[in-house]
Amino acid sequence: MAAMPTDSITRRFAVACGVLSQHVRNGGAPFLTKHAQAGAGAGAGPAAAQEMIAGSPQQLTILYGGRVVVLLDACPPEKAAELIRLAAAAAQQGPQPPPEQALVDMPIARKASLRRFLAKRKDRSSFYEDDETPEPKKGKMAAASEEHSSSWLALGSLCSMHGR
Amino acid sequence: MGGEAPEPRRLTRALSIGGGDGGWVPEEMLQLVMGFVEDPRDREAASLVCHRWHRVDALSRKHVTVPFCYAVSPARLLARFPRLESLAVKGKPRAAMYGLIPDDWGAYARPWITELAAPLECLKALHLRRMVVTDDDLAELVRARGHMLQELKLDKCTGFSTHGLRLVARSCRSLRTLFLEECQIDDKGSEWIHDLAVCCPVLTTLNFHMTELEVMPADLKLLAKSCKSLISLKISDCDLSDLIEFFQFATALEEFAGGTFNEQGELSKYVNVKFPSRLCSLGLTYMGTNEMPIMFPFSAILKKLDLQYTFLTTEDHCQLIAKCPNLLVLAVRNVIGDRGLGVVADTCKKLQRLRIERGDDEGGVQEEQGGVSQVGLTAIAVGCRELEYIAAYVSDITNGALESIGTFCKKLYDFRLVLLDREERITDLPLDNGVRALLRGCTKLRRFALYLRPGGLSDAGLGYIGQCSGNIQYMLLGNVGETDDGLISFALGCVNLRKLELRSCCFSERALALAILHMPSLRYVWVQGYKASQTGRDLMLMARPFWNIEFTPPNPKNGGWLMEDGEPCVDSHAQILAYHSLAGKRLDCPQSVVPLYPA
Repeated sequence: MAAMPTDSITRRFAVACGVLSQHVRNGGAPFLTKHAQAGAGAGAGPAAAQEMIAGSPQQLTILYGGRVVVLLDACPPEKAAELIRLAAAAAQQGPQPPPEQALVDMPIARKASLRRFLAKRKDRSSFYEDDETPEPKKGKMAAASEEHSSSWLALGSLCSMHGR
Repeated sequence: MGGEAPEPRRLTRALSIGGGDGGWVPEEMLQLVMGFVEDPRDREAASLVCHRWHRVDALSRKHVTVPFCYAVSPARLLARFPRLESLAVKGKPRAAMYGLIPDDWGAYARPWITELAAPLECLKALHLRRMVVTDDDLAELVRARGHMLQELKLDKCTGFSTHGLRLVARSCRSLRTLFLEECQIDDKGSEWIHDLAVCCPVLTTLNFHMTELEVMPADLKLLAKSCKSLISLKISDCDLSDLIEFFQFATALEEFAGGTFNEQGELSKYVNVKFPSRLCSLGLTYMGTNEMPIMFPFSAILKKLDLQYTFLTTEDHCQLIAKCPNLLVLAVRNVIGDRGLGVVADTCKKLQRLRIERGDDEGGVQEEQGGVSQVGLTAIAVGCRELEYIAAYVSDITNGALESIGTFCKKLYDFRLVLLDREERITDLPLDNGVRALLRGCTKLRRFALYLRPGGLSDAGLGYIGQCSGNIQYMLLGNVGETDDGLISFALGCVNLRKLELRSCCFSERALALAILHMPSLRYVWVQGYKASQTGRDLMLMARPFWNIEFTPPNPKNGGWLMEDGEPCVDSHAQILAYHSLAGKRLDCPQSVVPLYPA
């Protein structure tokens, strides 16, 4: 329910701006003229750019069978078109069904920071495990850690008392 | 600016208002009104009304986020918004966080700093994400903006060293925020922290978490003494026992992360650690069962808790979180298990953000085998209804769990789910109906990520995502769909989608191209794992003005290698990047990136 007002407001605002824009355009001839000129200018730019691109030789990239061949030499568009015609002719001559590629399941990548942490953790864990290997030591360590834990809890309560 | 669309009559009356040069609303009034329009899309709509509104918007816009650094040129941005106070620019694809993008890919900060630092006279906050920033860039930045810079956020950036940081520290006396989290920084000494302490007295936020920079406790102590307003400090690894004096002086501190327990079992070292009284956000590294009680005295007031980098067991998570009823933000690894999530659901009724990261797949010492599944997610959905953000790596999932999220999490804004590939059998696939229910129920959703396995979502489910995408602007989809038809039906429904990432899918180039053409709002698409055609020409079906297409060929020789930490190298598959750009074709592609142009 809360979502509706926000979306409605946004939509109405956009609609209002659209309506206002139309009215301004109707009412103001000078604006329209300027806009038309600006539009013409904007249109000419890309067209001119495209013409330049079409006219000048540029890098040719061929993608075939999953491989990419990049011809670093400048290649005129006429040659590119010719190559495409040749490829089309070859395709017509010998149409072969494309080989079915089994999709390799891509492993789920892990965030870099966690990767580093887990790598460090393994180092520490192995150290810890080594300590715990012998049974008698394990019991002793457990007792020691219990003592530490108890004392820590006591100290903790003392701290909280002081805090109060 | 609510209310109905204005009627023509009212507009006529508005148009007849006297004053100003054109018998129009005074410019000052319009600028004042425009200042209250904060939604970027509303600003965009307003700027299209007429040339005058366009100009007023341009002059009054204070913040702009450039969602992709190759989508617009710095010069064009400057011409459009000459009075920016805050600028954010995003660089490399998000996949860089996972090692999928080569280091020399691009996203250089240099042109943005060179062309904007000086001319943007009002600029005081700069935020760069996943970009390459050099010490020279930082030098140029502080030369032009040092006197005014208040916020510098370099988020997951690379390419600079502590020398650059020293320049920043010594040149930016007004600096309040320095954010360097997860950056790769060449460590040439820790003097930069000392310089910050001496030269930046108004610093409130310093974050170099996960940077592996060396840090001297004495410098932090000096920082606490000099920067009385220091509210948030997140550091690289530094033993907690060396920070006792820092904490004594940092009386205003509310947020801290990065202290480490380097000596497990040596509790006497940490007995005297006393956190500042206002601390309500904490993340400690290598904290284990024995060290956990250090948090008990103030756990009840914690609002943010980061346990991603701890040694806690599932039981530890249960014990600790049961003492944190006021959490708003929680980040954990999947070691928390379903039991831990049950405790979260029972305890943390105010929780807004929950992140469950992927832990050790080999079930290390502290890991339970279960991980997180539909049981935990359902408990969370039922128990934590204030959630706005959920990101979870799960081992198992059901439609029912997704339905529960759709039913109860009405404030959800961002949902991301990854189904890990560890378990062979998943309880309930495909997830078509669950996904549909979630999307229908969570009407506020803006970002959605679903990474499954083959068979996890059928073509019908993919169609549901499209139909129910609503206002979602960002999607990441992995291993979804069955055929090209699924992708097309998905695309037909996505009217508001602006950014799409696809991974490990079975779609053809032709379907990808057609899908892209069918999504009217799409500005950016990244794909890895698709059916390459024999000629690759089908990609060009998406060619159109202001649209760049870049292809990264597969690198088969990497397939057999392992990365440093034993993870398989995952950049051996081809990638496609296509995006809307006002800047034209990229001029700085590395050898590995091939821009595609129509013949």
